[in-house]
Amino acid sequence: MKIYNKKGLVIGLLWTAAGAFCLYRDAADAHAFLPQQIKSVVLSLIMLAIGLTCLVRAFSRRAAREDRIEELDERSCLVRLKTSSLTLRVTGYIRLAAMVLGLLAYAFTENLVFGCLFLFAGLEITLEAVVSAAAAVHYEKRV
Amino acid sequence: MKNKVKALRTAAGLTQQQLADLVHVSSRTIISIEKEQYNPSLMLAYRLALVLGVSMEELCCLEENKALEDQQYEDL
Repeated sequence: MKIYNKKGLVIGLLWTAAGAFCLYRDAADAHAFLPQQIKSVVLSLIMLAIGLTCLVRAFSRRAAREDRIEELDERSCLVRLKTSSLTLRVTGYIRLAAMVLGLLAYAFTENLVFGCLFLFAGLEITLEAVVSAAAAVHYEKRV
Repeated sequence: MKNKVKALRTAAGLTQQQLADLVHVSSRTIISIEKEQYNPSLMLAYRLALVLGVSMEELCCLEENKALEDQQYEDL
């Protein structure tokens, strides 16, 4: 059998291993609460199914071609880019809100947890600004 | 951006999947182009024009779109 999609094979192996491990854990260490056990087994089976699908597709020439076209598809690239951009923007707003709320809460309660929230959110925002500036310089030179 | 992909594809008797396979993109890309939600790259527009047997100007209604864009700039 020839491997047509190495990346798909690796992803498939990882998902299959994770699914098999979770299923083994479900069997070996069953939850006392039945709905929780059912949920856990269903999730493990979904992981296993994803893994096996990726594995089967990695050995199929046609499926590998479809996957490659999907990966290179210009609209898909644009969707991925826009998704990343929006995700970063939304999480940025959440971090900013967390920083402000952390600062206000710390000022009123003097609880260290809120102080840490302010500190870490602030650090993340600073780090993001530095990385963003570096990325802008990088792409201004190359695009 | 306005385009004539759907009309030309239908006239050529091609399905969206067939056209997608001929220009090496996904059928969702063709659907988006036909709905005028996505503007194809220069190379994809060229491929589409070749497959559908028209010029890029005609396929992408370039004159009409340019006039619309000029109007938008004038309104600024």
